[in-house]
Amino acid sequence: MHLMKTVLLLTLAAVRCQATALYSNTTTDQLDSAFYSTLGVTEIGDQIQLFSAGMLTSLDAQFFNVGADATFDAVLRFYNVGGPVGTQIGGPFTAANIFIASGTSATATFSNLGNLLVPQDVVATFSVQNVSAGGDLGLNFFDPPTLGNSSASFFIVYDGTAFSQASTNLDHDNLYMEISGAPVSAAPEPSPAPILAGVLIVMACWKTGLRIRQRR
Amino acid sequence: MSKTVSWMAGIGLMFGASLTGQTGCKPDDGVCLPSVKSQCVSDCSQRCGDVGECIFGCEIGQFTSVDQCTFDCNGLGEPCLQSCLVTVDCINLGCNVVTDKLNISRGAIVYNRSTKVWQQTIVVTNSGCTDLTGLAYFVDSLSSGWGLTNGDGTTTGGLVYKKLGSLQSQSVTTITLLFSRTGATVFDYTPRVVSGLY
Repeated sequence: MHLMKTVLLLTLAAVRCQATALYSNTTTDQLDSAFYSTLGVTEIGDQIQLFSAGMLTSLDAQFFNVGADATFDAVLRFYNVGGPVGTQIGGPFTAANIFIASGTSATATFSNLGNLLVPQDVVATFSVQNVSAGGDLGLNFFDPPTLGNSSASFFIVYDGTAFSQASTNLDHDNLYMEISGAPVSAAPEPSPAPILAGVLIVMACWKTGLRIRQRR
Repeated sequence: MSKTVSWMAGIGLMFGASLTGQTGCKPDDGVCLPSVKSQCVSDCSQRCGDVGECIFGCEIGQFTSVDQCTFDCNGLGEPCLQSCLVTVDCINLGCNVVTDKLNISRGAIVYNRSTKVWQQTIVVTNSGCTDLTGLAYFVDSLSSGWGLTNGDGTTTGGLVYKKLGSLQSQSVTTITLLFSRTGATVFDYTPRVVSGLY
C-alpha cells in the first residue's frame, strides 16, 4: 500500500528532473542598450513567458559599459506578473565581482538559483551595485527570443518607488537572457477509468477474502 | 419637409461636437493670447536688468518683425538686436505651439552600440481636427550634459529644432533624435512642437 502511494505521488508530480533551456534570447543582437544612469532607474528587466513553468538553476544576462573599465555586482530578482509587477519570488540572487571593460559587453551568470520554482509568466529584473568608479552600465536588447516569448513593445523599469513599463519605440524591447531549469507541468487530473478499475479490484479482493474466511 | 430637414440638421449640429470629441479630435482654438506677447516682452526686459538698449530691443520685438529689429536697433549694438530677436522668437513660438494637439510618445533613450550614438525614437500623432504644417520639435529644458546633434533648423533667436514636416489630422510620424552626452545625468526634457515655423 505504501509503495502504491509513492508511485502515485511521483506520477502526479510530473517533474522532469534534467535541467534544460526554458527561455532563450541570445541570438539576434539589436545593438541597442538601456542604461541605469540615463533612465534614472535602479532596476531594468522584462516580462517574459518561459517555455514552461519550472525550477530554475541558472540565468545569463548581458551588460554593456559606456564608462571606464569597471567591476560590479549584478543582482537578479524574479517577480510575479502584476500591474505591471507583482510580488517578488525568492531571491535576490547576486553574481559578484564581474569585470567589464570600457565599451564592451559582459555576460553575468547567476548559477545559484537553487531550483527556484517560477510560473510560466514571470518578470526578471537586474540591478547593479558596488560599481567601481567610472563604470556606467546598461543592459543589451536582443530580439526575438528563440525559446519562450516576450512582448517587443515594452520592458520593465523601477525608479526606486514604482515599477513601470518603458518602451524604446523600436519594437525590439527584449533583454538578452538565457534561463535554464527543470520544466514543471501541471499535475494531471486522474482519469476516472483507472480509479473505477482500482475500486473494482479492491472490492473483488475484499469479496474473495470474505468468501475464503466464510469457508473456514 | 424643409422644417424636418432643418430640425434634423440642428440635431446634427448639436451632436457634432460630442461626436468629434469621441474620435479624440481636439478643436482648434486658433487664437494667440495677448498674454503671450506681454509675457515675452516682460521676460526679456527682466533678463536685461538695467541695460537700456536691451530693454528697448525687447519693446521693439513685440512687433514680431526681424526687419524692424534690424532697423530700429541700428546703432544701438548687439544687446538691442539680440533681445529684439529673442522676443520675436518667443512670440512666434508661443503663438504657434501645437503640443497639446498632438499625442507625443517619447521612447526611452538608448545607446546604439554600432553607431556609438545616443538616440531616442519619437512617435507623434496629430490628434487635432486640423492639418498642421511646418512642424518643429523642440527639446526644452534638456538635462545638462546632453545636446541635440541632429537638429535641422534654427530659430532667429538661435534655438535648434528637429523638423517634423506636415501632419494631417489623425496621422502619425516617427522621428529619431540623436544626442551627445557628457557626464552621467538623467536624460530628460520637455517636448514642445510649434507649427508654421518653416
